[in-house]
Amino acid sequence: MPTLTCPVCGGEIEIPDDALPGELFEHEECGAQLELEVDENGNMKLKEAEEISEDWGE
Amino acid sequence: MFADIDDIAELLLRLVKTYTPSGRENRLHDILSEIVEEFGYEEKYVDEAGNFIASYGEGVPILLASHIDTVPGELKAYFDGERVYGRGAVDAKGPLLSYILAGALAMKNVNGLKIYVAGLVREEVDGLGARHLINNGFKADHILIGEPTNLGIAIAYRGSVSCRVSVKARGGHSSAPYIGDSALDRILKFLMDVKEKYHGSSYDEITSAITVLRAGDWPGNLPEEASAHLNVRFPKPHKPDEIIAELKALSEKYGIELNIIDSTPPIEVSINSLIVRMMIRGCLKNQVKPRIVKKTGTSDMNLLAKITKSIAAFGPGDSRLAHTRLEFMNIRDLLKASEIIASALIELSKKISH
Repeated sequence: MPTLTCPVCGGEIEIPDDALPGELFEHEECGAQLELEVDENGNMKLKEAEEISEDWGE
Repeated sequence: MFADIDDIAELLLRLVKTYTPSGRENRLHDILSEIVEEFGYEEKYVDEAGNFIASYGEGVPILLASHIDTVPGELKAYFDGERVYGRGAVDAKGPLLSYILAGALAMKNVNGLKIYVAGLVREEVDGLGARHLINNGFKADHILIGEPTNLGIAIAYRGSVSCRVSVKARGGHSSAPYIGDSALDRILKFLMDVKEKYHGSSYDEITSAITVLRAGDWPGNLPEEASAHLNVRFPKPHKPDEIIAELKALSEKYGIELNIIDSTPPIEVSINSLIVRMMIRGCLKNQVKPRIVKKTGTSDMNLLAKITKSIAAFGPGDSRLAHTRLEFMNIRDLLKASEIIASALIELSKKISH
């Protein structure tokens, strides 16, 4: 499992081997919602995900 | 068999044309039975509560649950070549059909899973169908709730407290209200206090809505009786007991009788939970950017979270149309939802079998 750095708190976060570009993860230590980016060389890094939006109904 | 938009529209039209307000869900059982049989589901039954449940496969139990009741108010049902219109098209017969199709799409590519698709009863009233599953020990390791989320993955719903409040007063003549005693004035003071206390305007805040108000029987009389229905919605970490205690204190202040009709706790799960991750992957595999949402409402997800915390809500359709006369479902969105869920089930099957 690759270990990446949380861009919010600087802590470590393990990413599953089969993670896809664009997958979302929560860093359980700081609660940040993160998105996996993979460049053309296959290098992975995390960026802050878009803010969770509000939906209505039920 | 899935590519034909007209065929899918025809199926949804059959569901929507069958008017099933809460309490009349049995009208849909035979139609659902025919549909799931056509799609190859192995078993089907209606439980004591009236929930329709179909299944196939053996292994880890997965529940795809939507509801078959609608709010009252029959609407003309028709297909315009792109959208199906009618009561329940978006809430939630469209999402339910997308779940039936998703199960069928995934059928030949999932191993080690037992897939249940359920059409639950009374979601729009008291969640009787979901409560029946819980009380009868229904087991599922992962659950998806079929509601219109516009293909967003819903990880949270607020809690809800619904109550009826009533008061009696001496009454009097409208020409001298200052010496009379109006039940309407009393209940309005209480309701305004509640509105002031719970005046939120977003998911993260507590909101209140007065949904029914009754008082008065003559233009010249001060009302002797008044009653109202009130609904309070709240996110985590608030709890129903906390809201009920606050309402009780306010009702005592104004001498109002308070009857709690329903209380449901809020639910919020991590995006790291397995079913959410599989749905994220299902979106990506179908070239849809995953979008995580929190819902301001309350659904069967709040209740069924007692069975598993690997739970999320997902479905086609614009939730703003729910409970309106404008309900419609875009058939291409319904099909896209089915493809995403089917991909998620296949991903889950791979994950579990490794």
